[in-house]
Amino acid sequence: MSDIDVLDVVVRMIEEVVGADVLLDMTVTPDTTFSDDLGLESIEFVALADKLRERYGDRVDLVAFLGDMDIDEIMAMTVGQLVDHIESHQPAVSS
Amino acid sequence: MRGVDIAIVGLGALFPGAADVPSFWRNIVGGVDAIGTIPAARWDPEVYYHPDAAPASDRFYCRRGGFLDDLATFDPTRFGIMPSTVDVAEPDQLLALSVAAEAVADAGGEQALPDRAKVGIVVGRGGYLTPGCARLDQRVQVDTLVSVVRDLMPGLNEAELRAALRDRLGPEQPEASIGLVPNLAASRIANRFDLRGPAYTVDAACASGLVAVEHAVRELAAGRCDAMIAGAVHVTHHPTLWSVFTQLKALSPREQIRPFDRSADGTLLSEGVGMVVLKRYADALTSGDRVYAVIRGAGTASDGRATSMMTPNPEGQLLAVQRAWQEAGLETGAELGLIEAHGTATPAGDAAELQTMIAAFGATGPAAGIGTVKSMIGHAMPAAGMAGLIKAALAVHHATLPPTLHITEPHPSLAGTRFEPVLSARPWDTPKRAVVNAFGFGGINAHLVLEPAGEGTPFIPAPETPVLMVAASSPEWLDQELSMDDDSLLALAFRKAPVGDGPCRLAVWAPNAKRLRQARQIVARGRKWTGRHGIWFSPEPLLTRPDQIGFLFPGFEQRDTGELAGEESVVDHAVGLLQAGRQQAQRLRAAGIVPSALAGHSMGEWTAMIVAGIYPTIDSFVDSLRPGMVAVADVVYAALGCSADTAAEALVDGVVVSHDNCPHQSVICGPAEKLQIVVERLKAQGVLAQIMPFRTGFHTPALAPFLDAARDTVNSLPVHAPKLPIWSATSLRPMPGDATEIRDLVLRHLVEPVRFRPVIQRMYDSGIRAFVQVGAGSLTGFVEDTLDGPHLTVSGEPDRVAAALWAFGMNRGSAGKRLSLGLPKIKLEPIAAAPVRTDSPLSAALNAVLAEANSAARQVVEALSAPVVPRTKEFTREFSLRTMPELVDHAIFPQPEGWLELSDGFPTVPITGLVEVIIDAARTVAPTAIVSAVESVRAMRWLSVEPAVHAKITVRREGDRVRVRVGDYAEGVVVLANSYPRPEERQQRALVGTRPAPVRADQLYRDGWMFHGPRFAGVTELETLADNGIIGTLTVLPASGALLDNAGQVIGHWMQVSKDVDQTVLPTGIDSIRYYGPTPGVGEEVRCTAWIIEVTPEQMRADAELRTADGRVWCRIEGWTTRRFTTDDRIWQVKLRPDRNTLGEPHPDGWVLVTEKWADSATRELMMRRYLTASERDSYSKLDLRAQRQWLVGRVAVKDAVRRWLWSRGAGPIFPAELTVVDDRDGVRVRGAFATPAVSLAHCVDPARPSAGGCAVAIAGEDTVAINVTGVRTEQGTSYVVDFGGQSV
Repeated sequence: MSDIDVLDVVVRMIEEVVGADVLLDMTVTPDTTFSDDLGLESIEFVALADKLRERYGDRVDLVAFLGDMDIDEIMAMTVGQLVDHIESHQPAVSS
Repeated sequence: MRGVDIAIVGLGALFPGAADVPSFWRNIVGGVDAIGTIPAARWDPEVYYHPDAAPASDRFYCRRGGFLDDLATFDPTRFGIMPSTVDVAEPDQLLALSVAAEAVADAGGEQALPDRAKVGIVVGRGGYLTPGCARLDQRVQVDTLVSVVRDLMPGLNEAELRAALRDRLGPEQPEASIGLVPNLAASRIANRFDLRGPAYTVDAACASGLVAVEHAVRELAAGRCDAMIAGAVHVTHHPTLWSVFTQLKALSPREQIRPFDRSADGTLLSEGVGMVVLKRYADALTSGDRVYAVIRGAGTASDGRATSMMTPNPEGQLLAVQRAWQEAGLETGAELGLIEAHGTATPAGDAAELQTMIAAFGATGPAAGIGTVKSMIGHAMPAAGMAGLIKAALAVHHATLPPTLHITEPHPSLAGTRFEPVLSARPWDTPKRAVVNAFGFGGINAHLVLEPAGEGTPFIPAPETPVLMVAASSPEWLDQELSMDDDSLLALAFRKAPVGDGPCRLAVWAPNAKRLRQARQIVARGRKWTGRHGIWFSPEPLLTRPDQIGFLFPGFEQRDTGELAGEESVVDHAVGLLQAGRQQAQRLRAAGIVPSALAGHSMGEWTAMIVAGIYPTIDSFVDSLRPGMVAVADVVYAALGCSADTAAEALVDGVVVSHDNCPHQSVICGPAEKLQIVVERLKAQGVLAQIMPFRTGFHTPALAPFLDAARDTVNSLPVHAPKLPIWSATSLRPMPGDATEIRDLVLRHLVEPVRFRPVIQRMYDSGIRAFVQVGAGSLTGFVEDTLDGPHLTVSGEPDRVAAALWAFGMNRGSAGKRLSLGLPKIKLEPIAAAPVRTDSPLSAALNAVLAEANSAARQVVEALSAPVVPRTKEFTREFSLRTMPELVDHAIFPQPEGWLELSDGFPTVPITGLVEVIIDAARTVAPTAIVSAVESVRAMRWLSVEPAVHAKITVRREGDRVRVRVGDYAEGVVVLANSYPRPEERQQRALVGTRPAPVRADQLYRDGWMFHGPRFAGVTELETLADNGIIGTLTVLPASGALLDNAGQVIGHWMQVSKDVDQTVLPTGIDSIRYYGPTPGVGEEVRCTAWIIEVTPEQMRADAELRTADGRVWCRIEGWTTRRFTTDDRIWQVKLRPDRNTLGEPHPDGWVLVTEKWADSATRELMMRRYLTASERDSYSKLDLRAQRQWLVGRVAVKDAVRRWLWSRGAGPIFPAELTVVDDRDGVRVRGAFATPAVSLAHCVDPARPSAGGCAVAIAGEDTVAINVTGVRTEQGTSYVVDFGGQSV
């Protein structure tokens, strides 16, 4: 288990990228999609990926994960899919 | 006998929810219900609406109907009508004129009209009490009201009550009353279009429109006319009209209009204007006119001696139907496909009409649709038949059966007949004859038979996306507006017109319950929201000027480009992009969105060049692409999720950065295998990368081998200078105007990288704040990623873009002036010593009498019991560029184009703006009185609005005078009156030594005589200069205080050209301003004559008289007092061209000398503000007075030395504020936008006046420079010794 829930981290980073106010009353769940629900622009997704890389480093190989998707597929992705990927590439025990 | 076929060749419409014919048709096929609740300005539901009371002459049980209010606009300038007369004209005349103009334009314009001697106009119009007449009626009833009150209250001060009532009604305008003659609705049109056939109005109640058409048809058939405009107008919701229909019980108690529904219980009143242009069909064919429909027959008939004039009579109706079909030469009902019925939704009316239809056309036979536009807009009375005719003509033209609303269960008479209500729009493939009914009160019936001119194709436009637009003065008020239920907000969204007024605005695109919920949260939170979820919210305007919008044209994008490799597919795609981009730009412009700058991404730059007119036609440019200008190199692109700098670090030989899109995206290009190496390197660093689906080689050296061929093509193509700036992402500058330079840039664009990120930053720095992406693409994301400061990006449909820009402050250039369709409400302040209270016995008696009088008298009681307006008031007002954006143009110190630090310009409220502030404040204690004068105006301090100032305003009323103080900035006394006084006769002093004014009005602003920007640049002519005065013409501008400020400019200009020392003057006070009428309308000309009455070394005083175009005195100014500021020739030259002249005297050895010539603090402040930047002013303010004076002299010397040094090396104009002087350990340095030299400064106090500023010398040079100065007291005064490079001077 990691000490901080990955979903919380992703949500916080989304807020950092697009501004804390954007989520309004919405609760981000694993089913929330980046484009339809959050209204994220593709360039904002790149900025989000940047932040994830800064935090999780190379352990979480987003390039490989996203490499096969085209931009529409990436934007149609849910928050849960991204969180799953990160969790599955985390060390099993937190340092 | 067979009649003559008549063609409908032009249409014009204005009905509830539809400002023009295309919107009308879109609403019809989209089934838009345009019914609303009566606006209180028409009649106040609080007064008249009593659904539970027994109907009475002034007790209405219905308040819903069709209303034009939002759409009733009129552009007087288009028709050569004086703007000031618009407010007092009869609205229906103006609206009839503009709708007739729409119909004429639709028919091909004025040039398509035949000989005007054979063109006429017939307008259906009722005799109802229209707004203009009702306003006159209020005025002529004043004495009746006064006499009623006098009978009850013998001690009444009659004169005062009469004056107060008249006052509330505004000034007398006798010429306006003359214009209220009803037939002018037709005459105005004849007058405007010079129609010399017949021009008249007809009244046939609800059949008026079709009867007018019938008259027009007869004129054409008889050959008396070759073209006719026919139509009808009904623009009134006066309570008397509602009273009549209430008492007839014709209005729906359920307040719904459901024609031909079993449960229909009455009609709803509406209004509107419809016009058609008619010609003989044969003539229309000859001249190639577009023909909407052919009128085969027109029939009218009266009921004659029927049972009742108020009851519809099927026999009379049938006669009209038969006459029309007989004239058509057709068997009655032959090939009938659609009945546009009268369908008032009154039980008797619907039953009679269906009985007529069955009798005329038979209950059985081929199916025919039936419906009525009244189900959507209500009953537009005399104009109703025109709404039906226009709908039917469009249905025939577009081969579309249009729907009718609100039939849940069809009328029983329809059961088993061939008549089917059309419930949704559908292609019309049955026989396409249509008929239109209009049946009027008193038994006047009309019927028209229409058929198509040819085979139409069905046209059912997609419904428009609704958008909610709400404005308010603050987020709190906006929050209030949103408290209404969702259904009401959604109904507003369908009107697509802004609701409310104020700087705080919200737009919600395609609102639904979820978006409305989000919007409420956003507004409650009060912070801006820039488009996510289709919501835009701005608590204050971002766009405060018209020149802040830029268009961005996308180029090839990752999406939808497919695999572009071959030359053909690239060209095809580029051509598609150009055409779509140009078309979309036109649509945006048509929606009122006008760009001030353009840019394009990659190939999008070509689109921008075409839109800006560099290439005159798209065709020539497209042709040029074909023969090989577009070469294709065999290279591949990859889009990277990193900056161009990061990408550049990973490059290998042969791979280049082709696009710097934004901090998080760049594109690289190169041969496939080499590109792959770079991509792998970057992926290893965690950079996202994707290979792009096109291979063109644009923007890379790979195209260099093809450049010669491209050059031939480019050179052969004619080019023009761009009509508006296009920012090149190659050069990062606006494109040049010179043909050779343009062509060079086009070629560079092919082989150099796209530098989109920096060009966007440059556009932003130049003042662009809103970036509109034209067409599909990712550019908005690039801009968002690039810019930090406040901005807006938006893309999509023109309406969506317009809504977003509106929310952020754009005001669309609606040329029209909104017409008032209501009545002034009479509310008075108490006039008697003992105010009458509604609970007093006297008042009860008064009420009893008045209740029997007419309802207008009720207003007197209201008036007499109105709350007492307080006599003193205190409040705080914000003065800022947010609340007064126009003051950007009243900035005393001009700065370079696009200078971002607005405080450097020193935007201030002019003294005349303070006068407006004082008047506004006085209105809080005297809301209805007329301001006849403002006296004893004093401006004590500059009221600068950047940064914002909150000033306390105190107001005290003493009788007819109101004393107002605006913080410690200004004060004045407002004089109230019941009406404008007549200007007293006066023998004006003669102007002596008159001669033509030496400076032209346009030079005033261009050459720096006046600092004023466009919103205050209202002096449009300078005619005469005299030894003791000056004459000029002013054009009224909308900015607050601009008109009198312009008079002040004329006065100040006398000083500028008459004196050569201390000729700088700025106003400090005004003894009095007397008004003799309301402020002239925007755009009107006012002639200003000024007399100089006193010139002393310290001040100059003048009087002035302002006359409107009709020669009347509108205003007199006495004792306009200005302060003279120290000015010698050098100071004057700096005032005229601060960017090219210096206060410092240049010495041949290259140093400059500045001596303090501004001993007085007021002049010193001007110099300080002219020279120092915001941060320097901050340092300055922290010094004591003596240090300030010396410090300032030194700053001026340094800036002037450096500016002169730069000029000597070829630099262009430089304003003092462009340079900042810094002191640090290493001495004095200068920062600024230019390469700055080393500089040395020395200062010396005048030994005779140690507290003064003394003098300073400064020198600039490539390398280290040094200068020194010492003061020596001699018998002649003080001499200075300058020590420079070893020499003493």
